[in-house]
Amino acid sequence: MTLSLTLRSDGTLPIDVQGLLPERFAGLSHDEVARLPVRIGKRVVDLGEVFGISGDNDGQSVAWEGDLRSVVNLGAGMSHGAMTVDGSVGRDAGRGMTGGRLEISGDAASGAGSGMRGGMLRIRGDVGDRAAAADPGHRHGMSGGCLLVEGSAGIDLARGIRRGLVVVRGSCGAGAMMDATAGTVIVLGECGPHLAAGMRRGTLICLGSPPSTMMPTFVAGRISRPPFLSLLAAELNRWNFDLPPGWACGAFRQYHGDMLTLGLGEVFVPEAVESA
Amino acid sequence: MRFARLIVTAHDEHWLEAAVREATGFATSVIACDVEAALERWLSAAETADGRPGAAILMFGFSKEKLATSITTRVGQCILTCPTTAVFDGLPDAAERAPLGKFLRFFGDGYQKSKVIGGKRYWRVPVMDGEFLVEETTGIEKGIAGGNIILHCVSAQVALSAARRVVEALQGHPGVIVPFPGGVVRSGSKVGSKYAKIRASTNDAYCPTLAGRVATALHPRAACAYEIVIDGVDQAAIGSAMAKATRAAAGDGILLIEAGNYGGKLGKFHFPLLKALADYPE
Repeated sequence: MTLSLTLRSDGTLPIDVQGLLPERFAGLSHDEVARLPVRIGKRVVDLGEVFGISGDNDGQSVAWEGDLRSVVNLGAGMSHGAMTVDGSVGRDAGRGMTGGRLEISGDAASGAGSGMRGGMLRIRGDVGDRAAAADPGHRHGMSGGCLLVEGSAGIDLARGIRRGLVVVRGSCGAGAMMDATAGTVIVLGECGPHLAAGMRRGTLICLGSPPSTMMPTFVAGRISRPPFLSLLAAELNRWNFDLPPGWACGAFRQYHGDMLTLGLGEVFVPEAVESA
Repeated sequence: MRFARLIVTAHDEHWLEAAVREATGFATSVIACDVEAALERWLSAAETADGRPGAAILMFGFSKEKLATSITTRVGQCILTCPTTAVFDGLPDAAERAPLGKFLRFFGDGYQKSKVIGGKRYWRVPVMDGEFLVEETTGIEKGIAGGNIILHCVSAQVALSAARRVVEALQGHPGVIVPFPGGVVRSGSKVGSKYAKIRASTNDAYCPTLAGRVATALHPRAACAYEIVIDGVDQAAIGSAMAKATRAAAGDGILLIEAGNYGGKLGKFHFPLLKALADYPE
């Protein structure tokens, strides 16, 4: 019961599939789906010219196949249903999602999940710059939903995040959670420089970063075992996102900041505890 | 009656018991207490949101507003104060909501933080051993209070043994609590009194020392009677609990087991004991 769309084009121009979502396909025959507009560069063409259409259309699930690295805005504005991408995808995948589930088996280019307000975006490979961050010209980034990345992330991860959860299994580039208003970000690998700079509120958990990564505008607190981490672990377990065993029960050094702004944010870095 | 189910967790059983004991204290009867509250059942670490030992407690009150006030007060004074505890909502599907962490967060004096996890908002209130974690709201549903059985026994010793058998049998029975001391009432009450300002007074018909002076309801050979009051989340919970309690109580020296309906003055729900036994076979 999945509508399959297989990309036939091998051009280099970006193929904009904005608005091609499960709800848009609902109730349409294959012919009607084939006549939906797709933008290639400056041209508008029928979807059927660039994608092969097969499978049953239930208006709930869509599978995208082929070399989709030039496809942009895939799943942008998605509100319900499920979409899968077999392979890697171009920029702005899942941008502004409000619901539903988008799974990408490969990499996603820059802007994935930017401005997300709900739903689940899961990327099995790496994600580019500005993932879950603010769209250009906007102050706030992700304001709801969940972004799970099995690989690494580029710069400006969750920049301006306001609400929601981002988890990156690998490392991330500079400026993670910069200018955050709230929200939660977990990075299992190393974080690049300037992490959480300008953070007002929110929580950044860096499982692979040494304390030396911290900005000087953050104040070191005491070592603690935050009880809410077990709830986060349970939630991620529900999404089948495995984390190192016992991480939620571990001891973390809490840093408060950014003291140049509101100073109500926090960064947790694992730290060994002195035995009694 | 309205009720709430709170899930309390703690580092270990010692602190969990301490929190439950305090939170359900002075909560026997709404005749004079703000709520009727008690432990519903202990929860294993696998059953709780934060993977620690837990307990489900039920609190019954006359109205949503009164119950909400009592919940906040009791959690604030008895659970927030207890080392290592956290509190979660045990009725996530309930449409009616009462504030929990929504009010208690202000104890954080501006240093409190919230986290939305799995669609629920939790508050992290800084305290001296770290953080008190509490869910923002708790569900409230309609429940039933005052289900009961009365045991007529040949002696006090027999009555005590039977009462304890009943309470042990009801431990962990889903959806019910026995809110009186040790689960047992010795001062069964009737509505009203000869004194104008007293709302409830001793149920003289069940006092063995008054037999002969007043029209007694006791079995002719009864020297002692105890009442087991059962509050439950619905009719099925109370009916099944009453059937289980009756079977547990029966034994040598138990002359009569009845369900008091007090002339129907205590509410619209009636639980005929024989019907409960038939509906919920062993």
